[in-house]
Amino acid sequence: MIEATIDSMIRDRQQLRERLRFFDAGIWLGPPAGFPNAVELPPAELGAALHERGLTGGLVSHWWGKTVSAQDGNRVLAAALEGCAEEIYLIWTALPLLPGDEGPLPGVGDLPPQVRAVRLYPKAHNFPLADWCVGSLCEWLIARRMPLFIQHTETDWSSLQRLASAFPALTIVVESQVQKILYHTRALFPLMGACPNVRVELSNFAGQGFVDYAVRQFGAERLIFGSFLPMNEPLVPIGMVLDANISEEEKALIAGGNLRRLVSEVRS
Amino acid sequence: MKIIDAHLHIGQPGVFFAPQSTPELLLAGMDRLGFSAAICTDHLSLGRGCAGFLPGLREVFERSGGRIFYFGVYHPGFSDACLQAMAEAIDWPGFAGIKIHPSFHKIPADDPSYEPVWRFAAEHGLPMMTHSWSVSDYNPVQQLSVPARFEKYVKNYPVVRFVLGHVGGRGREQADAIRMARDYPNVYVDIAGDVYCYRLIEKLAAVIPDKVLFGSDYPWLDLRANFSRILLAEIDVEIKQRMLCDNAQAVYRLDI
Repeated sequence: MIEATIDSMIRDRQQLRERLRFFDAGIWLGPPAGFPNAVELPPAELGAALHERGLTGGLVSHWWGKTVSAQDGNRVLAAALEGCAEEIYLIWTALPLLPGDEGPLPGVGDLPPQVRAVRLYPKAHNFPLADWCVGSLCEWLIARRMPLFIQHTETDWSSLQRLASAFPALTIVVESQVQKILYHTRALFPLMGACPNVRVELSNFAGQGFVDYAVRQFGAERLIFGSFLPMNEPLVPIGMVLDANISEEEKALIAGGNLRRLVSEVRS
Repeated sequence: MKIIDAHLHIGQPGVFFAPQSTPELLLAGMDRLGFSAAICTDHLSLGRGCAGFLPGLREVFERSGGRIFYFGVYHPGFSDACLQAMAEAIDWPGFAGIKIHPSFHKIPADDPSYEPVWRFAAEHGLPMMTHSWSVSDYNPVQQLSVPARFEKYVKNYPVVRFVLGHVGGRGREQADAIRMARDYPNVYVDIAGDVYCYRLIEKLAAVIPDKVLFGSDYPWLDLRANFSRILLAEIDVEIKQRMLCDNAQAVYRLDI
């Protein structure tokens, strides 16, 4: 026999999830690398996958931007989502601005209007996350109020701190993938304390009480919802937000308000 | 309905910042979410096994009002001391079973040095829970705990109710954990840890609905991460209840 309690727990969470309007910074197309159980999400199934998990839309990336080349990833991503009806925007892969680099890249020719953020892969693409190498790209991003995403495994914490300090007007979203960020919180939290322009993405920001702690220490506006779909289960970060010991207004910011604001402020 | 978190820890883990790790904060979290009981391993016991640490865990159980149960950790390198300590604790309030952790102890799960604890569990009707994981490029000791390494003991000791913690991890070997839970009546899995694979709950519900236990891995991971994952999964509500409550009781038979 099903007890009434579980029905009530489910219903309460479904209603709150709907009210919070989750908007996802971590949706991925293309063949996942390093996640053997993950299955590539066909673009045609994207809308249904988001809807099933209660996600209203978000920012989409393509694995090829990391595993093949920035240009190929950007090209295939733009083509896959052309005319997409959902509330969908793109994260393009960027490289240090270098005369002669072929597009499509941020800083080389016009961007599709759906591009609202860029991501760098310093380790995968072999360049340092240093002012003298990516400074001109950072200036380009600041001029467009476009946020920079970076997976924490793609750099080291001191480089991130120097870059965030050198470009305080640049919003940097530190992503909690592709391995647990748990083991790095003794670096992440001081970085967030020192650099107000650094934010953290939630898909694997899963240590006990991290959401509550980060909201108390740094404010709810510093947390960005991301699922890492289809490698990761969106219900995990959704659950951490739904049941966080914070106000509903703070939950709404984390679930989507913060990311929607970043997206809306981008100048094309 | 009595929700059981069947896999968590208490105490400071050391290797990362843990703003919430005490039994008191655990209880507060359980109260907020409506959990009735939890089964913990303490980080101290993981080092050299449970000898010397079970009285402290019994105290935690009693202070918690009978809600935070505990495992006795068996370390093959300290076999006699661990088995003696567990023999004394078998009838203590809150003693829920035995935990092994081949990766942490750096002794493969199919090593003969685990024979005494399997025999002990069989003789005393105790359940066992283990860390299990997949082969990992960046954490090579995990290959000591891949599910298939436990299979010979599972076959030899069919009376021991055996839980593969973390469903065998996020990699290819997860399929072995699911296969073993499907094929052996005495094998179960828990979903503790960051085994956050997309649609895993739906997959487990379809294949082994009576063999899946809810667990969080607190304080390594948040009590809330896996909880709503089950509540909001696209599966029958009756299976959610089994995962959150009934399946853990089938294994651990807690007095709650």
